[in-house]
Amino acid sequence: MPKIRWSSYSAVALLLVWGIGCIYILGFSAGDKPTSAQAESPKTIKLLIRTGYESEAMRQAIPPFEQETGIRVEMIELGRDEYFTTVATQLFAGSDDFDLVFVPSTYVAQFGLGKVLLPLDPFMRDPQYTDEKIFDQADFAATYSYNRNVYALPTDISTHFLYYRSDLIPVPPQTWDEVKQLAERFTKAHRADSPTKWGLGFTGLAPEELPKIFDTLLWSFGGDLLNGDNEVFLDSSRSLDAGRYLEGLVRDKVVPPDVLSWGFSDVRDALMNGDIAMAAPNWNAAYDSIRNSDSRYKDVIKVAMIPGVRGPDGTIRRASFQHGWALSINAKSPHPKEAWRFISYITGKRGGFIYARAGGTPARKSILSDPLLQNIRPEFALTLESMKIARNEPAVPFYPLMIDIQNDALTQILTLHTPPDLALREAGKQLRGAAIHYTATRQPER
Amino acid sequence: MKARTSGQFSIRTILISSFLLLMIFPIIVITLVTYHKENAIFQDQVSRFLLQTVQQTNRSLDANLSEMDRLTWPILYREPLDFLVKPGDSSYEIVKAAAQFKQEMFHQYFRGRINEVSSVYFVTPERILLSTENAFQTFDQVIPANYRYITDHLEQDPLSIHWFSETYAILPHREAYTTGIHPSVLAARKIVDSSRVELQGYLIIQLNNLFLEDVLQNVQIGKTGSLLLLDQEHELLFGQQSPYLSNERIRQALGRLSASGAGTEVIDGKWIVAHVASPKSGWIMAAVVPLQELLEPNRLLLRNLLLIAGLGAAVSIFVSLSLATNISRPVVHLSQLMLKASYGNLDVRHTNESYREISILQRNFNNMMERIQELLAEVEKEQREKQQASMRALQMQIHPHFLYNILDTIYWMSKKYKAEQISKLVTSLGKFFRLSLHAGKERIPLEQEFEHVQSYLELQSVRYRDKATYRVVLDERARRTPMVPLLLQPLVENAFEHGITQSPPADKLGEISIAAVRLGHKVSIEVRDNGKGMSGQALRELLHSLRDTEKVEHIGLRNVQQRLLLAFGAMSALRIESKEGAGTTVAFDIPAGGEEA
Repeated sequence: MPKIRWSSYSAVALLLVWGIGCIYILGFSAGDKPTSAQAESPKTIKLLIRTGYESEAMRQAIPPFEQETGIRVEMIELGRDEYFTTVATQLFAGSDDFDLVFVPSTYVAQFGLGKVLLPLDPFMRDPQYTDEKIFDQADFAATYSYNRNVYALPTDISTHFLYYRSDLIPVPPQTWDEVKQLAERFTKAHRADSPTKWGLGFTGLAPEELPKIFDTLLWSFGGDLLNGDNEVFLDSSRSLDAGRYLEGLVRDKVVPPDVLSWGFSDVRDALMNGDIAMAAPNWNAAYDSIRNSDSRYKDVIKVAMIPGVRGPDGTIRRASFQHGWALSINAKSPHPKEAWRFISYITGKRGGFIYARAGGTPARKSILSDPLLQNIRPEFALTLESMKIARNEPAVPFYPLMIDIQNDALTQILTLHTPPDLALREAGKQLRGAAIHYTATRQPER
Repeated sequence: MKARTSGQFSIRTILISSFLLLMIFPIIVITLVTYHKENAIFQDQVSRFLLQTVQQTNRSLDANLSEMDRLTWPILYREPLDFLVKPGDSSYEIVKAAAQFKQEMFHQYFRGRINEVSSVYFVTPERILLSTENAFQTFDQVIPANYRYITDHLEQDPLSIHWFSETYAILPHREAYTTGIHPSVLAARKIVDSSRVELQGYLIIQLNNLFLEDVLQNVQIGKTGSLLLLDQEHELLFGQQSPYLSNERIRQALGRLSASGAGTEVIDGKWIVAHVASPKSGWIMAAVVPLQELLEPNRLLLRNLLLIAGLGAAVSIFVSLSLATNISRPVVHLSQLMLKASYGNLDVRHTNESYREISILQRNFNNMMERIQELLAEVEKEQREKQQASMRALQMQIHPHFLYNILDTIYWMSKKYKAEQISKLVTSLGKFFRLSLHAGKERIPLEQEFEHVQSYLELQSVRYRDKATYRVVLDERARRTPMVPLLLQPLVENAFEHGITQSPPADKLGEISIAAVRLGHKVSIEVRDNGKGMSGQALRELLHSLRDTEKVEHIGLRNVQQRLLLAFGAMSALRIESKEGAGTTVAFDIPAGGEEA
């Protein structure tokens, strides 16, 4: 046999390498095969949220969470008009299209009763998911429970301020009567030389805004909706006083006649445009939006504590509405653990700080009182002050019905269709019926 | 010592060229054919898949439109509509009606699709606007031109739901927040009381972007392709973000798309558009994808094929060089050896092992060189012997005329003195010399050789008159047989010298017989004496000395043997038989044939 030279071996080896190389290279020619990394897509949780400044702030606070955890958060935004209907429909239909839902605190009782939300206590108590020291539940301005179970943790706290043009009104009014007097002075229909068209503005939108506006008036005048025992006070004399005051604003034309179509943004824009001299009761969230706008009046628009009613002893009784927008976990969520991670982040101190910088108003006292943040968000100090006199709406399972009853009465008052006494008495009657009906079935927790 | 002939290529060059041609050519051809074929197939398939994707998506969208249409059907059957208001109703009643309208629309009719509905409007014949929006709205806020456009279409085809782009929204939209939700297309239907055939109003559903996005947003059109939805006027209703949309050529092409049917077309050879028109809405759905992207996998394939081909070519060159060198090396080596041999160096031998066929060549080359050397040695030896024989013949030559004149004088003196014996002897001697002098010929007829021998015998018989007799027998058929001259005389002389004269039998007469007999194709010649013969040992030594050219004994006999072998080959080898006291027989054969002599 002839001796085989190294070059022959090399040739065979080269051919083999070439052949294997061909297979390897052609393996890449299939082009768009997903790699293992691509195939394993990150877990995505979906957040159902209402369009508004909350969603704007949330959008900015999400990326750090995604980077830290690798969990993707997809926001499903819905318009404000159909939001409540959609949330209720989807939750009670058992939809698993979203993991997290942005709910107003006033709906927690209804949703808790319906077991459409997951209680958060198991997550908060489990050290595997929550470090209690870091989480610091006591720091929350409010948590929202039903039947001793926490169902929602607030990302936002909302309360009412008095907004006024400091260039026109150097000292903010302290009582509602003073508000009305100033409103007449800065309404063109009363004073042709008024620099503003209307003296006062507020949102009269149904179904959510108008009752809340009225609640602040109602409580300031000493009235109420229900007490803890579901006793109805909507038709009490002090409640009727509040109704009369509201009717007087329309009747005396110090508020726009189409106030029923004014929403949150309409009031804010009217202030920024110089159409109104005051807005009250008006949401605290508008202030940051105004400060960051390019309005020519942004520096002269100030906020003050909500006015009240002077008592016989000269003290002023103030009361401000407060509610929270909170995050809850859909009972049908496919990813409850990941959903909780996001809740603990966004309602936590770090997430809340980011959220606050993005325009939100976190419901943590430590954040609201943070001097650095107060420098950026000067209204936080007032928010904390306001929270001291702020009240929640009653957390009743028949909340939507209560709102409908209030709306109907308030619409009658604002359209001057029915005298406030009649309208509120009828509303009180209806509310009492609803309370009796639901009290017979279950005792709600306040 | 290279021998190169111009115009001829070396075997290595040819092998390398052949290997390269065989390896690289197929690689290139296969690469190009595969690419072009793949390109065509790929483009065709991608076009079809693209169109199928668009058609499927369009079917989904149409199903969505149909569902939205069906959601309005219960309103048609509902009599009377509870939310209707009468002219002159107070603001509160209108607000209440709007609230009831919203309650019905959101909680009853559109509850399942509420996240896709921005607002629902109902405009009565008295131009009272009912809206699902939280803000209280009146007909004064309606954009007249858009409302008129919509109602005109509804009047033209009052039984169908009509779809419009957001351009025709009846109420202005103001973006209060930064949001991903915004108004999109509108659906409008004329609501008629079927029992009285009276217009109840126009139902206008303002949908938000989710309505289209739920169906269209997640449709992936390649990597950078776009799915587009155009209205009846080819205005964009929905478009996935893509830089291609800003391209004027694409926009022009989209503007030309057919309002019915489906198809694909290529724009400027750069983009492919698959489009289908919806019979329900009249909208055109189109997918625009850059051809380059579609063919990217194929381009990748080509790149890889070229890479493979390039590597393959490099490997082929190396393998070709290696194979050609390995195969041609022994041949080249052999040719170099042959070249050396041709220059006279016959000692070269091929010692390397190689492939079987080459090894056979190498072995045969070595054998051939050895055989050539042997032949050359034989020729050399033969030449030397020939020279020696010639020398001996020359030494034996006597001047013929002087010899003949003397013999002739002796003959006539013997005649004068009546010495018959002498004259006879001189006559035989003359014949003998004459034949001897003619021995320069290569061949003579056998009868002439016999005549020469007979003269010799006659001379010898005079000498050994009382001791020996002789007998010559020549077959008539062998007379003309060609024979090397002067071959028999040494044999006969040996018979006299060794058989008769040196030890004559005491009681018998020596007898020498020479016979030639034709046997088929040969003539067998035999010289026999009845002398003292040889012992077995002596015979073996004689036979051995015939083969050993170096021995000095038996030169005459060996000379005869060699001349026979040279003239007639191995068949003519001498056969010697001898028996001590009985005589010796020397025989040989020659080829028969008389014409050539």
